[in-house]
Amino acid sequence: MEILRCENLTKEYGEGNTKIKALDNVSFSVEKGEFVSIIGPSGSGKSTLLHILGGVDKPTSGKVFIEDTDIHSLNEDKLAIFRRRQIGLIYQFYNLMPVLNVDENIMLPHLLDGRKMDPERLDKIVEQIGLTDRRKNLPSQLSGGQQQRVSIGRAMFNKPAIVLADEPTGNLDRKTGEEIMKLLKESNRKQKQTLILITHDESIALQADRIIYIEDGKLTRDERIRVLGGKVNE
Amino acid sequence: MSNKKIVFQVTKEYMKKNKKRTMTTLFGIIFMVMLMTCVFVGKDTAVNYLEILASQSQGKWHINAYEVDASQYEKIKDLDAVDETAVSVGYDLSVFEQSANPVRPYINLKAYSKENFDWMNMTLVEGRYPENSEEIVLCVDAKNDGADIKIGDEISVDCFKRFLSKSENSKTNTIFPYYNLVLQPGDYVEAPDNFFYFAPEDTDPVEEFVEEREYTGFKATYKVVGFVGRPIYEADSSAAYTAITLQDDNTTIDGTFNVSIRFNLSKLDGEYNGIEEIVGGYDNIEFNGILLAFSGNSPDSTISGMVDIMTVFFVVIIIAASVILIYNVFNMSFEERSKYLGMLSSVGATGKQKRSSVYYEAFTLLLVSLPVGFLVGLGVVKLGMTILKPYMDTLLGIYSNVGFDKVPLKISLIGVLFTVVFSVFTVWISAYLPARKIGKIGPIECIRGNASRSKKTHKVNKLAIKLFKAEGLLAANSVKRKKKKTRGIIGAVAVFIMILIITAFSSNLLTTMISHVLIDDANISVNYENDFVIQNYVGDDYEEQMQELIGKARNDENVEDVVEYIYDFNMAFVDENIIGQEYNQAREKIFDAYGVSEEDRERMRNPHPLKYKEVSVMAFDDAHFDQIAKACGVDKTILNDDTKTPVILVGFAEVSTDNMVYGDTADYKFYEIENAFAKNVGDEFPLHVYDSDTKEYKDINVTVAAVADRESLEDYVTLHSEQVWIITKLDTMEEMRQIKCTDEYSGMVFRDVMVKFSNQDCELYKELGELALAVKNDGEGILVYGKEMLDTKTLETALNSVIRILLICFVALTSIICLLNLYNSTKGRISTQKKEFAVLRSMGMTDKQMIKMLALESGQILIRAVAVAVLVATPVIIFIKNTLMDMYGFVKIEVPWMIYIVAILVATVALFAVTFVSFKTEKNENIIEDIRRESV
Repeated sequence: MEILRCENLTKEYGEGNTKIKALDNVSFSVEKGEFVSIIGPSGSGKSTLLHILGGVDKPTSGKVFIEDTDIHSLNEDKLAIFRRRQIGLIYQFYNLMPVLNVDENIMLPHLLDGRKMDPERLDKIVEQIGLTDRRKNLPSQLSGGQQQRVSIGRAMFNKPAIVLADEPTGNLDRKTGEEIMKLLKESNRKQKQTLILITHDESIALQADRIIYIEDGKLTRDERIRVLGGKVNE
Repeated sequence: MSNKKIVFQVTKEYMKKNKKRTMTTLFGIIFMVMLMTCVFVGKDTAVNYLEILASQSQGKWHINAYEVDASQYEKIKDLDAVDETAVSVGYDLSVFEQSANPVRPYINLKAYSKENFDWMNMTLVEGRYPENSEEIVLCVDAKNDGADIKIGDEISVDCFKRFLSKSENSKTNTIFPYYNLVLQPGDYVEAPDNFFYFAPEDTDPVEEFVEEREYTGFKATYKVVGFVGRPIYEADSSAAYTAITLQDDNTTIDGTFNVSIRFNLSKLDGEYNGIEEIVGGYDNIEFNGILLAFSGNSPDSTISGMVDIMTVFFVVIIIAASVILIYNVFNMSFEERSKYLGMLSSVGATGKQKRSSVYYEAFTLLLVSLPVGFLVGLGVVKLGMTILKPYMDTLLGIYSNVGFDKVPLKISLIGVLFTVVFSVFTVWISAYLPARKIGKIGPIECIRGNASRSKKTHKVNKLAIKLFKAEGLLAANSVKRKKKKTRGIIGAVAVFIMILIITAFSSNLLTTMISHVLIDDANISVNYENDFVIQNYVGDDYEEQMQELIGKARNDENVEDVVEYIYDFNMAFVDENIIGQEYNQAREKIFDAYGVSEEDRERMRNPHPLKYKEVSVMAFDDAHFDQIAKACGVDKTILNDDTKTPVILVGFAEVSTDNMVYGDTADYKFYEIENAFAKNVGDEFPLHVYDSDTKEYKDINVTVAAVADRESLEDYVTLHSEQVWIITKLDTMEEMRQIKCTDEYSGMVFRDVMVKFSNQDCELYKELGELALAVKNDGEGILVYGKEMLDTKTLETALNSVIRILLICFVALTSIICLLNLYNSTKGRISTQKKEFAVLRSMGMTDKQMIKMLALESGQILIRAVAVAVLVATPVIIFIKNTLMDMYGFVKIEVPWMIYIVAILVATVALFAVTFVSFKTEKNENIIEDIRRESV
């Protein structure tokens, strides 16, 4: 079942001679529960693509459909509400709220939606990300890996349609990076969480079901390496 | 390049890079220097202007002694503090043959000793001043009017006095309102100074009066050597031009003359008494009081004392506001500064060198700010003085008769020095703490920026979530968990509120105290609106006329209100225990001020043989007594009980070293009393009235119907008196008067009748108008005063206006520093939250939620700031109040709730406005860019 579809996405920056095309007519779709890696060199436009898919940036032209909703046709408020309910974002530099502790950071999208606290869900998520003993700590009191786990917990809390991760291991050492990937994969496999991950590291990209290659803003290759469910594609 | 130079170079680069922050600091310092200039140069300029005005209107002399003879003059000159003296003699008028102006045919001849030409503000227009007693200068108006006179010509004088003679057969009075003169049939009076020309041979057919001359016998011939501008004492309508010769030898003066004295002010200590003894009383002395007051040497040091207090107050507030602004800016840039200084530290920069970075930035900005701030300050002083000029003119009773349009800036060396010293001190103190802090941090901590990481854990803020959802959680934690960053903004808001509260309170206190200090002893006014006030002593020669006028007024349909009241000081006596303890305690403090010994106190406390205490009594007609009683919360059962004699006790009184004199000298003290009586509503007590015939006291039993406080009485009666007062009805007063005023003692009980007209076009209005005019002119007959003749509050009002305007200007300017501080702190805070806003937005936070979060955050900041402000401002205003009370005594000052509320409201509006404007600006800069920039 198709959960995301983008059609002819183009993003331009600047004007006249300084005009740069960050994305050039990119189209693809993602199935529900799929784990997609978007790989490309630095400056290839992959982060721009992720932000447009996540509704935090607008394309110059083209459309993004998530569960059949053209997200860029929504007004600012509706798009914000859509984002907090349907999209989970994970950043390379975690972007946690420095004044909130682990529990509060994880619950934030849920609370932003005006909903009451859900202690059971919170306990479950905290346990999943392995931070039971650091729940009352502020981000500044956590290591990079721990902060990224909080970021994952926050992205997962509202059970979004899609989780978008932008170089989630880019700021971590190898071992911690592997732990983070394990966590992401688990959520993808066990909870059928659709996951789109941006990386420039091929070994990380290879852990996905499918790899999309981007170069100079253009989609150059789209390879499926596993069928849904984890079986390696022939 | 030395290590220190590198630090300075790097600091300079960062200053350039952070233009906004640098400019904020620069503006803050410029404002501070400007305010310092306003205080020091402004004070010098204002005092100088007032001195100039005082000397312009009355001359540069300090004291004038009149009718002094030669031996007295010698004694005056021998007094130690007398620096210079000048002599003047008036020779009256003489015909001025050369005059071309038919209505100015005389000269008014005077002789001045040399100094007086300067002291009396003469301005030489042409020629020179006389150098001997045969030379003369003339008012230039004579020449301008076409007189056939020039320098070198001679004028012969045959002096005379002018008299106005009114025929006995005349049937009317002749009134000269401008000269306050009424000629009655048969009158023969000397024409006043500046009296207009009236030809001696032209007997006015209607008015029937003639002008006559009495020659004094003084004759002389003078050579004209110069022309002077019209002296301030000469009116242009006068029949005479002023002519002044030199009084070069005082021994030639016959009889008495006038002596002007200038003192060596540093030696002035009790000299006034010496002069008073020499000339035989203060009636022959005139003080140039305000000139002396603003020089700080008046016998009354109140004004100069107030000026000094306000200077200290302004400087302290400016330093406080500026320190917080500049400190905040340096503190806010701490993290950024610590990064580049950490970098330098890692290559060997010492703590001292790191500190010098902060000082370098601060003092570089000060170097630019000093001249700019000073010049701007001069401009503000000039502008401010132009605005204040009318009030300051009024302060000295000068209106348009002084040709002195501009206010000269007075820039004294000491004023400039104080401005520079206090500015440097303020900048140094502001930079000291941030510099000390940065000097202590090591290189690694600086580079990592984790110099102050806490290990404290934090529980989930469930209450905030429950009350205000995610926005509440974010706002609460933002304020609570970013204490250091929040401190700056809380400080900025708190200082803003504090300054508004403290300045407004102090303004109120100062003006209240000045009002008390300036008001004469026993100032009594009844505040009913009126067009005329008719006065007489009850039972005097005008009693019949008074009763007739009262009757007419009460029966005239054009009269809206007639208020009759009678009052007398010390009319009756009461038992000692009727007087309140507060009154007795205040009197003890006055004893303290005069240093009265315990032995003398016992005698002075109550000299009456029966230990009675005097009370003053004011009585109103029944209708107005009832009205006042109601306003004071009267017990109606007492008021309506015919068997009782109701009285209103005036609960307040004012005791000061001016109205209670128990010795020669005392520092000024003033005590406002709130409970002058020890009796309450319903209590009965006897009033003892002395009967001179029987030499006994007769009692009138009265019942307290109400106790009046100042507020409830102020619409009807204003009483500034050390006396204790009771208010009663006219018949009770008459009963007392009948006892007191016997054959042996006639008594002088004063009656006022106020008449307010609803229609002024009526016979009675005209009649009272004519009577008022007669009083104005000769003071004879029943006393009738028009409304305009009773306005006596000019000085107090003018001084209060000056202080209020000064304080408003000061609050406005200081508020700019505070607003700059608030803007800078808020903007800085919003800027540092920029990335957090982007993240929140990416997570689906809407604008509405964002605004709610900021509002909640601002609300918490405000609550904390208000708490800090109230906690700090309250002891400060108590301290200010106590300090002033120690100096001047006690005045009742209400808790300034309204000031608190207004200050908090203003701060609230400022905080929310700055927050939302800053947020809007950040939003317009597309905060998503922050995340994108980091990720691409």
